[in-house]
Amino acid sequence: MQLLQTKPIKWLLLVLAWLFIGIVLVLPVGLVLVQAFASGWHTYLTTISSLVTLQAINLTVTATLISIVFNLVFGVSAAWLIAFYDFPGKRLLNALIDLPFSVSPVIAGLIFILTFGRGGWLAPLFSAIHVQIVFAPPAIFLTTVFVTFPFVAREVIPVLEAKGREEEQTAALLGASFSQILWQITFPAIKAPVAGGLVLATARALGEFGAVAVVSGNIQGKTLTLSLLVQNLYNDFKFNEAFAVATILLGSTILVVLLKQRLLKN
Amino acid sequence: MYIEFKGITKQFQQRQVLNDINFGVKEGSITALLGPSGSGKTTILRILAGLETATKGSVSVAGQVVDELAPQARGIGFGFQNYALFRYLTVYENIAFGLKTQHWPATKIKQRVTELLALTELTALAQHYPQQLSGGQKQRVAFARAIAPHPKVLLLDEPFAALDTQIRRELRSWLKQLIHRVGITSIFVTHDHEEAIETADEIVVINQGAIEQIGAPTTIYNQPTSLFVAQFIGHSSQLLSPNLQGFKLPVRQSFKAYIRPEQVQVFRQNEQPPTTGTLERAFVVNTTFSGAVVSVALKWHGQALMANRSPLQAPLHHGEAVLIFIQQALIFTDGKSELQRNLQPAAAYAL
Amino acid sequence: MQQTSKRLIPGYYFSLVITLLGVSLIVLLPFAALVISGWQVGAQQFWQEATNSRVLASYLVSIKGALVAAIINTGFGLLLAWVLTQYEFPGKWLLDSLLDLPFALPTAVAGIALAYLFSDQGWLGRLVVPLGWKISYTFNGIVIAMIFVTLPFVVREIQPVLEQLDFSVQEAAYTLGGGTSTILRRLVLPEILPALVSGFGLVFARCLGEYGSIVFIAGNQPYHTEITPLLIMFKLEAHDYSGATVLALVMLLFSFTFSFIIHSWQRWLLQRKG
Repeated sequence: MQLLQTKPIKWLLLVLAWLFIGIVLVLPVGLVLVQAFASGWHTYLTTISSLVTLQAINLTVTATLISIVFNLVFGVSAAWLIAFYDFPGKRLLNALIDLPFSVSPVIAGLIFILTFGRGGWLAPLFSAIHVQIVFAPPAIFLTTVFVTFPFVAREVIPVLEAKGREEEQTAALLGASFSQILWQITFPAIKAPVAGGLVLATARALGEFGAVAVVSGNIQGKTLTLSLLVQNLYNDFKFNEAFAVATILLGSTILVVLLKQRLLKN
Repeated sequence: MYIEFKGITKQFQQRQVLNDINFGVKEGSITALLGPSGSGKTTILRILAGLETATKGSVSVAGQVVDELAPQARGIGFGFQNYALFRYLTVYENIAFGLKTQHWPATKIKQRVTELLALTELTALAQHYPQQLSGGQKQRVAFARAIAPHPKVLLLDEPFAALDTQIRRELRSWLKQLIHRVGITSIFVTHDHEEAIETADEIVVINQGAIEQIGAPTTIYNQPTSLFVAQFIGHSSQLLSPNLQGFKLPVRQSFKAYIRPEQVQVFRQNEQPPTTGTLERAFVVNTTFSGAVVSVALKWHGQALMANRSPLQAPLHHGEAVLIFIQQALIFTDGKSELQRNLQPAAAYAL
Repeated sequence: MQQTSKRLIPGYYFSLVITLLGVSLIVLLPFAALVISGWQVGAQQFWQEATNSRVLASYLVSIKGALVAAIINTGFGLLLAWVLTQYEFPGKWLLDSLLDLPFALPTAVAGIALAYLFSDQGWLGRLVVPLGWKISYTFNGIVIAMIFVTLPFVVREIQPVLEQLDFSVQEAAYTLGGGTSTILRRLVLPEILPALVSGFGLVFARCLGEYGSIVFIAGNQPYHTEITPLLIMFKLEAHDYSGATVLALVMLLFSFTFSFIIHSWQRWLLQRKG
């Protein structure tokens, strides 16, 4: 193929590509690292090991773990249902699973306030049992689950549909139980997409900002995730501290990207 | 009868997929369900397996009505068209799968799998995974896996469809011998008449959801009772009211004659025909050499007729006038068929 | 032919219950709350809330920003996909990996980094000050943030298509004497157009909803640099739930209509391609 392969054109396009990526991608990331250490190692270490930061890490990791578990159980169930059976309303179900992807994070937060917040639908129920949802960790968990909702299902459904049902049907005819089919026949075939979906969900859950900002209430030590802490520090003009906390998120993100590429290779 | 289909009817969204299917299968025999795609043959198989439910009618296996039984409880081994081998299990584990789910004791599983591996000549491949196997090997694994738990019936959906022609031939006779040795009652679905004729003890020809004819391969081949079967099975020339010498033809009535190429003998003018009867004149339109036979396209009284000739005989030329002798023809009048032999005295002559 | 087959594979009810429970709790229930809450606003107030001048200005900022970002990213996405699929060069894997970063990078981190970088004292903002340009805290900043978060969308849509492009068609055209531009226009473009359209649609939709990376860099001035999601946030902070609900419904309606149009367009393109 000889299109646009002459040296000058190739170099021009390459330089343009790198320049673009450099300006909008590499420089911002580089800046985070430089600014994080601008006030020295000591400030950096005190910032990222402060109680507030540790509490934020704790909350962020908890929300992420909850999302992962939910994604795993829900995603595999939904894929199993959609790939292995015919039933009315399948297209609608598919569309509903995808819905959270097409919604602004702010709206994602809003709908949970409208459901569980003051004057919300289920508010009387939860106030009766003295459980606070909105402006408390449960709402953060719920919105994080919402924004990561389709990840595993989206990755697994096409793989299972391409694989077909015959193996599972044969196993069932041979008298296999649900768990025998799941673990011996189906799971080995969907390990990769499940892992891929979980990686994406993890990245999104760790870094979710908009949706969480809406429902969190910004209560220090209680409902502050890492992203919210970055925002608070930045808005208080503690720029270097904000960037220091941002490196935690950046580091985990790069880890996740590498993990994804590792998975894709195998 | 070991398996009995009684009045099976299947409707799917206003469409009649199967219409009043009745037939039986003898114990230990191989039956082929033969028909074009969309004829409903696979649906019959799936209803017997319990993968689908009939709208009306009932199926019994070994005297027991199985309509209400779960597929797993019917004692049926099922082979899908693409074999559906468990791709993350070894050959050994594939075959052992159905035994483990039925909680066979470990020693018995080992004994049975070893026995089946030997039977299907797969012993050396026991620890291989399906993707490392050839098509024929996969088919054998699927067969071994299906019969491992001693099912009453073995069902195979287009068992040879995914194979190359050469392997298909070999596997057919191999499978036939093996099924008879094991003695398991088997039904398989196919759209290939040669496959059905070579492999089955009995053929059920199905078209548009109804049975056209049931019979032994020779009967189906030589004496089709319907136009469909005559056209679908094997190759025949179809002639409209030909003036066949030596046949009892319907008088003052149009009819169709189906003549198989191997029933037409062709002689050059200078050859000695082994018959004292009248020979007919025809012209050679074309000849095609296909190895075992030379297939000759003839023009006879303005109609096209195919004949076979041995490659050992002298070659024919285009446009050459030849003499032909038709040994046998299938005469259809008003939907009734009659297989007739030429009444003229002919010496035993076979190609 | 798969017809009304029985549910032979075990686990139907199990997976059905889990799936329906998940969809109902996480998706249906909250959306029902949104719709009901919108219903309770009443038509007249709904119209007022949805069309007051500050709100209208925010739609305009969001749509304009998304449009500019989508156009830029479609262009550069095409460039990047071309470079990644057609050329061999050192550091190719790095470029490819970097492209995944915006998918994974937390929006707040991107937001503060971009705001800082493009501010008047920032590494890059400083460079354009002499030209009389401002990026952070202006409309330009909004576009920059939108470009950042949606950078991979177009590339990842086009990449597989370009990889599978039938070279023999191009080579045939080349030997038949078509110039490079003719081949690109007549043979390559029709192949990648459906992917280009869907990439454009993805970018535009995502830009409309984006919040985290934009708030830091936008300046957030009513009528000028205030995007609709931010306005929803303000209304929520002021406990104006009905106002927030109205804006959310308008946004949803708009994005559904938009993705429907994009889908139809893409399907039409694919059909024409055959």
